[in-house]
Amino acid sequence: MPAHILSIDDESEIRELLRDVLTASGYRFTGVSTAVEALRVVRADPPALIITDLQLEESDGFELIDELKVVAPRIPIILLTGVLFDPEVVNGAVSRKIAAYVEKTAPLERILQTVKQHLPA
Amino acid sequence: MILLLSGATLLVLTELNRRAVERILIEQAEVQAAIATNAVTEGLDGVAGGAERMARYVARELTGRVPGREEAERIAARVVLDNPNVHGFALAFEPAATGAASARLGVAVHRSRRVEGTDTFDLTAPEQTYWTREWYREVIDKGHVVWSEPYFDRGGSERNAVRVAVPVFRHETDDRTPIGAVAAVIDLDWLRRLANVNEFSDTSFTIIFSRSGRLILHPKATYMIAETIETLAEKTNTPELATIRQAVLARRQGAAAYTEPVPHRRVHVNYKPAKTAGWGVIVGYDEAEFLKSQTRYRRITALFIGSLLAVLSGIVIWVVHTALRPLAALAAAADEIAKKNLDCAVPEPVRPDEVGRLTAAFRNMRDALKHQSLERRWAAQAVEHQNRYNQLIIDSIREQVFVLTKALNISRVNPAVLHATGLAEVNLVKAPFARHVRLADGGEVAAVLGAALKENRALRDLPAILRGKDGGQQSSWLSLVPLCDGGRVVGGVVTLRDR
Repeated sequence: MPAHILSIDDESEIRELLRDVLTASGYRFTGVSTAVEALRVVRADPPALIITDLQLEESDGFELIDELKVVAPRIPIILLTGVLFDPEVVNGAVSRKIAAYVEKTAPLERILQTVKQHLPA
Repeated sequence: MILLLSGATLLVLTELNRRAVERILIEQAEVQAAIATNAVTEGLDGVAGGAERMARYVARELTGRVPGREEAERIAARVVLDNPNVHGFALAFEPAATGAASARLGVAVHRSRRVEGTDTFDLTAPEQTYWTREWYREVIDKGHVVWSEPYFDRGGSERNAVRVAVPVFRHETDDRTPIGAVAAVIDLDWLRRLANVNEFSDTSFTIIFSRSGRLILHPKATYMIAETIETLAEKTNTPELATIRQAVLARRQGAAAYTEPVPHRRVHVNYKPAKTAGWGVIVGYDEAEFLKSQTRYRRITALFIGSLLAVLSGIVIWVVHTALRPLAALAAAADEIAKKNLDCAVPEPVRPDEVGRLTAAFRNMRDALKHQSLERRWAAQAVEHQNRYNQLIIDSIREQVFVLTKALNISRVNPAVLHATGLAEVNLVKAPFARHVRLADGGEVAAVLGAALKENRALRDLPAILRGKDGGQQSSWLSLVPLCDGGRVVGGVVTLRDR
C-alpha cells in the first residue's frame, strides 16, 4: 500500500508537478488548494505526510499548520513555500510544528529526499 | 536474408550432388545392360548359329547324293536327339536327284511329345507335299540358307519356333543348282531361358526381333510373333523402338533412352544386332529402379531440408517474438520520447538477457528524462513564482520606485510612479531619469546619482521634484540604493517619498 501524501497549494501547476514526481516515486497523492479541503481529506483519508504552502486562498499556512496539529498531531508536515525565510526565522516561528521547511526554488530531488526522510519506512 | 541464401545454397549443392550421383548410377546400369546385351547376343549366336552350322554340316555331307529313306530318317532323328534346342529336322530332295523322275524323298523327324521320343513324317504324303512348302521352295529357288520368320508351330511343337533351311548341292563346287534341302526347326523356348539368365535387375527386360522386325521375344508373351517392333512402337507411343530397329538393320549397336507414357517410366536400352539370321537384341531397364536409392535419398534430403527450414523458421519466429518485437516496442517508445512524450509505455524488463537489460536501461533513461523534465518545469515555475512574488511586493509599495541602469536611464518603475506622473510605462522606460526628476536644490541629479553609483554609495532623503504628465510637480524625498551583482554596481534603485 503506497504512502498517502497530501499537498495544499493554491497554484494548480505546483500541485500537478508534485503529483507527477510523487506518484512516479510510488506514492499516493492528493492535492487540494484550500485549508478547508485539506482538513476534510485529513479526517477522511489521513495522509502519511502533508506538504503545504504558506500562502493559501482563504487562510495562510501558519493557521493551517496549527489546525492540522490539532486534528492530526502525528502527521509530519513539510512547509513548501516561495516566501523565503531566514533559517533562524523558521527555527523561531514554526520549527516545532513542522517537520521540514523547503523553499520552492529548491530542486524537486531535494523535495523528494525530504519527503522520504519524513515518511515511515 | 542470410537464412534464405543459406537455404538456396544448400538446395543448389544438394541438386548438383543428386545429379552427379544419378549420372554415376545410370552409367553403372548402362554397363550392366551392355554386358547383358552382349551375353544374350552371344547366347543367341551360339544356339541359333549352332543349329545353322549343324544344318550346313548335314547338307554338305549329303552333297552329290540322295540318301535312302531309312538313312534320311536316321540322320534326322540323330540331329533332333543330339540337339536339345532343335525340335525337328527335315530332309527333302528334288525328284531328279533320286534318279527316278517320279520318285520324291522327303522325311521329317520331330521331337515327340512323349519323353525322349520322336515322330517321323513322310513329307511326300498328300497332306505334306513338301515341294509346295515355302521353306523348301525358297531354298531351292535362292540356293542359299534361309531363316524363316518366327512362327507358332501349330500341330507340331505347339510352341514358337523358327526354321533354318540349307540347300543341298549336287557338287561341292556347285552352289547354283540345289538338289534338295535340309531344315532345322528350332524351338524358341530357350530364348526365354537365355533372357532370364541374363537379367541383371528386377526391371531389366530383353526384346529379340527378327530381320523383318517381328518380335521373337518380349516380356509380354502375347506380343511375341503377333507384333512387330513397328506396331509395338506405335502401340506404346515409343517411336525410339523403330529407330533402334533401323540401327540394327544397319548393323549398328548402341544405347538409347526414352519415356514410355503408359505406365509412365523412363527406360534405358542397349541394342545390338545378332550375327545369326539378322536378328536384333534389345536389353533395357527402368531408370527408376536404379535411382531408387537416390530417390529415397532425395526424399530423406527433402525431409531433412524441410525439417531444417521448419526449425530455422521456428527460430526466426522465436527471435522475432522474443527479441525483435521487444526491440520494436523500444523503438516505438524512443519515437514517443523524441516527441517529448515521456509518459509513453516501455515494456516491463522481465527477461534476464540483453534484451531485458536494454529494456531496463531504456526505462531508466525514460524515467531520468522525465525526472529531468519535471525538474526543469519545477525550476521554471519556481523562478516565475519568485518573480511574480517579488513584483507583487514591489507593486504594493506606495512610494515611487525607479530601477535605473548604470547610465541612469529608467529600466523599470512600480505602479506608484505611473500613478504619480500620470504617464504610461512605455513613456518612462528607457527615458533618462533626469528628464522626470530634478533635485530641489538645483543640483544636477544625474551627476549626484552617477557619483554615488560610481562610489557604490547610497543616498538618503535628498529633496527632489517629480515632474508629472501635465507639468505638475511633486516634492519628494529621494533615496538611492546601488544595485549590485556580485559586488559590481550594475544600476540603482531610486525611491521617492512625498515631502
